[in-house]
Amino acid sequence: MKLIFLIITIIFSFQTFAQDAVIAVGQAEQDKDKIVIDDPELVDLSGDQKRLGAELIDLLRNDFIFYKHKFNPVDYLDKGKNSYSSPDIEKWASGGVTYFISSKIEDGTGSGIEAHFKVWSILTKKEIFSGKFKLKTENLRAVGHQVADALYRSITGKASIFNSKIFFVSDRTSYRETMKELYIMDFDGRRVDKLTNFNSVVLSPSISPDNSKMMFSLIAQKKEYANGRTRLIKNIDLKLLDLRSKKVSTVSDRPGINSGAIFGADGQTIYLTLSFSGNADVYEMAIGSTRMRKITSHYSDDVDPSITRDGSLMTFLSNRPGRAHIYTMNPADTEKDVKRISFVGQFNATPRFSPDGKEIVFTSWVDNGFDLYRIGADGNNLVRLTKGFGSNEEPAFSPDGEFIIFASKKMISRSKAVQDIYIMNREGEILGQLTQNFGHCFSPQWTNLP
Amino acid sequence: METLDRDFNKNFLISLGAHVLFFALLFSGGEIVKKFFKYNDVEIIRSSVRVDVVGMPKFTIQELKKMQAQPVIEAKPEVVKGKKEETRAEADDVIKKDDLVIKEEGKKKASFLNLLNDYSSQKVSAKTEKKGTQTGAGNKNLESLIIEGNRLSKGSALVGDYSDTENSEFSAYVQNIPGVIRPFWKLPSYLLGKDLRCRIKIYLSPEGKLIKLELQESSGVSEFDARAEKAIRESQFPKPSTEVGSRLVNSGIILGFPI
Repeated sequence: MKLIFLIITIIFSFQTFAQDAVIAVGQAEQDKDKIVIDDPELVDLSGDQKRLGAELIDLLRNDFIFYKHKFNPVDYLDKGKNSYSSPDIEKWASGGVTYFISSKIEDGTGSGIEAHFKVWSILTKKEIFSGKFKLKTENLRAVGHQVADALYRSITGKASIFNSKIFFVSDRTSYRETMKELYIMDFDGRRVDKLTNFNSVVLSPSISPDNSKMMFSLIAQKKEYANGRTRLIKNIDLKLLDLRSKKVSTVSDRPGINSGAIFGADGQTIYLTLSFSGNADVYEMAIGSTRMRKITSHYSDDVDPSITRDGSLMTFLSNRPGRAHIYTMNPADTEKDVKRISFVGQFNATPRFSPDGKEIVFTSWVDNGFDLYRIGADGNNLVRLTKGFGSNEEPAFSPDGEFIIFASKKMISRSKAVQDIYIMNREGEILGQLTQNFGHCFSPQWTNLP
Repeated sequence: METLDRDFNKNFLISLGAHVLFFALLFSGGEIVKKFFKYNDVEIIRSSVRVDVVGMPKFTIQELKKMQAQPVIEAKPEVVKGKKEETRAEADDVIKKDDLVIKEEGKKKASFLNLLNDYSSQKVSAKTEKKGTQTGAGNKNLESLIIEGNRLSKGSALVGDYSDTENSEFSAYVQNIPGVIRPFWKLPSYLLGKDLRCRIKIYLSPEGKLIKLELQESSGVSEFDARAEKAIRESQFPKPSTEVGSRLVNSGIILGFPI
């Protein structure tokens, strides 16, 4: 080490006295961008159209607040002399603003509007985006999120969560006995739709990479004939829902558990927990085929798989050490490269990979409730995300890896509790509640980026 | 007779072997016995300690950030005058080895990353491994040097050993410049970790005011270059001595972002 220091020191010492010495400033810190989404220029609009335009701008401003760890949306009373195509660059530069978004809203077809947007980089004094969008009252939120995503992409070069959706399970239709159905909503908790009507219990949903199919477990009732008598039995079957045709088919109805299913990268391979052999293990199956391969093979129970996008690493939960702990392995072969990565915690559950496969978010039982933790896929850098916020379970990373959604249960009296879906950034800063007065909400999952 | 000789030879060899073994055990002070009979037990104890010694992290990331924000554990300002640094460097040489360990721990508290690592480290062995890597791998050191920039602290200066700066007023001045610029050198998350680099030449007046800057080597991303320029423009450079001032006006200095 001393030798390396010496070499570096000598090299830079010579440079110091040379004519063109280079002084290293060092790595930069992360900065938040001050961003102004200006009020739009309104051109010949009716009252309704003006309201629609105002709602659009509010929606954009609200969307960007989700990325408050990256952006600082600001508003100024003194807006200087701006127009849609020539912003007051000097004014914004003096105020430390780095991006300025200008817009012009014109009369569209019917009661709709045509919204024009430009994004300006104040530092480089250049226009970096220009686009036109057509909106109507009925598609305001859908198109609005598309506009927000286009603006975000022009600045960061990456896709945002604005176009993504969240699906989850809720018991809001329960009356006498518990019924849990599948729902879908925008990333911000708006526009909720019901997807299933089984009058039964839906469990652990997941979505295909192209967002066209959903898989979930369903507590199904079946007739069983034994000892000369027919009786009704319950079984946890695996179902597939085609989101385009709305058709539901059965993927696996083997005796016992058929659950915790997730899609592989090709959308045809699935990984799930089966217990037909009397012991829960993780299996690989192909949709529409009887082909099946055992991935874990241990006398302890192995459940709840999550897999990286490239399919090279799988994480699962196992009680091999006597308590539920998190393991990783290569799913290419049975019991290949199995590695235990959690060594602490009374009971760990629902390990879920980040989109880049480098981190795992999971829940762990602490002080009479569950809290969320994040750990590197190699078992290092364990950090705590929640504390004193009720009992927090079933976390899932957003498709861009910047956010985590989870179900949080809060006691409101000795016997009553509410359970809702919340969103936080990956550093554990809680951004808001996505469901409210919607029964008990469970198992939130994110759709993939379009 | 032949049978008797064969028996004698056999018994002699057995006796010799037994004596050699006895003396070997005697002179090894029981080490061989320990190795044969106790080694496995020692391993079992080690692995059991490794599993259960640390609990789940008590503090959340947000709590640790708040702790970091408290003035008690705030990092000391990085901009230090050459003279003061000299005194500190000398003092460091006098400080005993044990004291240095304490100093390092104090320094650790000031960094949020270290705080986070302290609370998140879950394996006793992980710390040992880290130490091993630090002493062995040059890349890690270089990485930390880049992160630190050329601070005027002992062992992390990128523009030369302290003994060199002692002899050069000019070197002492330029070594302080990164510390002046770094508080303003900030990038949005999408530009961080992209392995971008730009170099900018700056000319300062005898009062330390920025006269002009020239982009000598672009990163290829105008936003990155603009951020580096912004950091320079926002910085307040200290007033140089007359000799140093004339060099800064005429020759200027090249700043590397980050290196």
